[in-house]
Amino acid sequence: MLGVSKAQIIFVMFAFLATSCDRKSAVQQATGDVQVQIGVQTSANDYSLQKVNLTGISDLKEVAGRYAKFFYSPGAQDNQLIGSAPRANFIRVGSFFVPTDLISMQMATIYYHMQRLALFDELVGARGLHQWPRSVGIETQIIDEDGASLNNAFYNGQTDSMMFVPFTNPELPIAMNAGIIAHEHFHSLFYKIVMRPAVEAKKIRSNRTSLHAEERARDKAILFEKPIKMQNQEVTVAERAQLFNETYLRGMNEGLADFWGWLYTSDAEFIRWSLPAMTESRSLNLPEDSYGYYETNGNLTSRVSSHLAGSTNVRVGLAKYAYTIATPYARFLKQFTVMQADNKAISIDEAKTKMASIVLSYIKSLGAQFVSLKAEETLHTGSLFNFVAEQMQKEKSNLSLDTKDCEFLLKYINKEVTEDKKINVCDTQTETVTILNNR
Amino acid sequence: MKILTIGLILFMTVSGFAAEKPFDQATDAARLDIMLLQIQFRYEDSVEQSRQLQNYKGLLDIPILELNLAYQINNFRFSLGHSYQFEKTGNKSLEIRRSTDEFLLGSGYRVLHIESPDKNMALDLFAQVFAGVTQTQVETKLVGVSSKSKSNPDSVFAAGMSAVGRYKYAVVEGDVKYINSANMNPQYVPAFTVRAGGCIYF
Repeated sequence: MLGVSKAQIIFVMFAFLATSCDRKSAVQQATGDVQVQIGVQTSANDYSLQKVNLTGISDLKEVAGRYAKFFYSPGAQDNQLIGSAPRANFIRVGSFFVPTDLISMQMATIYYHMQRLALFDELVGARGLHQWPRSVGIETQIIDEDGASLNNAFYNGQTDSMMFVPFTNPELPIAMNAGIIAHEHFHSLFYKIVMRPAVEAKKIRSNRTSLHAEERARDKAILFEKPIKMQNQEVTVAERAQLFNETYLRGMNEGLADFWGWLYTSDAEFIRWSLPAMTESRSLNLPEDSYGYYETNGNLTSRVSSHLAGSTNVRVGLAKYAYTIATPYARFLKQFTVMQADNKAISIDEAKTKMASIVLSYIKSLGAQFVSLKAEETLHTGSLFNFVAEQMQKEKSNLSLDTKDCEFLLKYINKEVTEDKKINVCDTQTETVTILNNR
Repeated sequence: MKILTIGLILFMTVSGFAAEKPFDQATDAARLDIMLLQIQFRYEDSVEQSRQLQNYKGLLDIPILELNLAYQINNFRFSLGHSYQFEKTGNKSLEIRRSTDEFLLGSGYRVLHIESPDKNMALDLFAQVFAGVTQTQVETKLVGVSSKSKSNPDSVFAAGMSAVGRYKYAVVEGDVKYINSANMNPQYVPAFTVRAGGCIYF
């Protein structure tokens, strides 16, 4: 009936498709250094779209490379994340790529920050602590009897991975928040230096960290641990000390992580972009009338006692209290860093690098101290201030302790000593200022 | 390789004309189909990280309004079609709007023709190949500031079958085709389309 056979038509159609499919997509071709447009924090008050270079990219479709490897809604097996990688979508515009959906934007952004945090690790002496690329779970489903976890981020030490759960608020998604990514990254440092050895030495049981405590008791890691005895008289000194130390370390971990978030972004309220309800409680701005405030050993001891007396689950209650412990440490460190830049002939970046190195040395010393602690002993909640003072006194450069530093430090160092025992003074007789202990 | 393909198509077309049967007014009259109603589904990657049947949007974001023209003469059908897809992800602080425009020029050959005795009703089956261009625009709104980017235009190819049914001046077309473009996800996408409109006879 027809002048052209059906076989001819089918042949032409196949030839047509076969010749059209021999091209790699722009995304498939993009490896090595790849320029992408993502949302980054350009100042303490601004997020904007910027073109940045992602380096070491091996597969842009999965935004995988030297610094990060992504898992979509992952599970865990044999201490590793398992699951498929999310597929990222980009368009090529001239020489750069633009993410075409939220998941892709988050992946590119997290990769970029992991790349920068790797450099920061090297700068402050944390090189070699991490294995790269880092594992990152996005849209992680954490579901328990109270429902799914939302609007939060976690560092999971067991799988050595950063996890982002679904974000449903109208604010900036947590996975886009540079400060929060740096905060979570710090948890991985703290875990490796302090928590993992402590867990291995059976000094603590709980080692989970999250960006913030959720209102409901959904922290499975804590919830399903063996309940501690509820009556004060039945709790041994060792158990009490363990609760004290767990809570203190959790608080210190969160506080230092918030400080790391500020170091990375210069934004004292970086959390406000994603979780504005926490702005006030987690702000790193330190009013002058709060100089010297932190949760002392006395505060922490009495809080442990009150939870032992009244809480149905002591660890859940104390986990929330950890954030009260945390913020004063972060505020102290941020204020002290700013003072270095303000009062000495150094830039804020130099001051930040110096303080980050001191913090890293501090957590190394804290980890070593904690592992050698006897079962009934507790850590000292003021140890950070003493450590900073010691380190600064050793400093021989233009960063050495000055009178303002000394007076600021003494407000903390003297906090938990009675009036008649406040005997530390700043010695300004010599060229360098030292904190003298006249005892 | 592309030139070779185009040459092959031209060769087939000419060889088709060479063996053509005598002209039949009812079957072979030239006509222009104007089809502004369209429903299209494509099985492709979605923003939910799964491959699923996606309902394509229409012109001005009106679901079934779309531009489709086809000129049919004898056993040949030449078409121009537009497809539009729009997806929005994110929230109030970070919103990403992606829209894709695609224009396809088609060339088809009739492999089957059935008509009613009064010739008012007819059904044609065509084998078709398409070539065209696609371009994606992304509008990213971050904390209130918006930025628009347009992708480099990319070529699209497709092959498939379509069935065209007519009743007097009304026309309905259903087609199934495999679309290929380097930057599609995946690179081969099956598409199912139903469109309707009217036709003008010459």
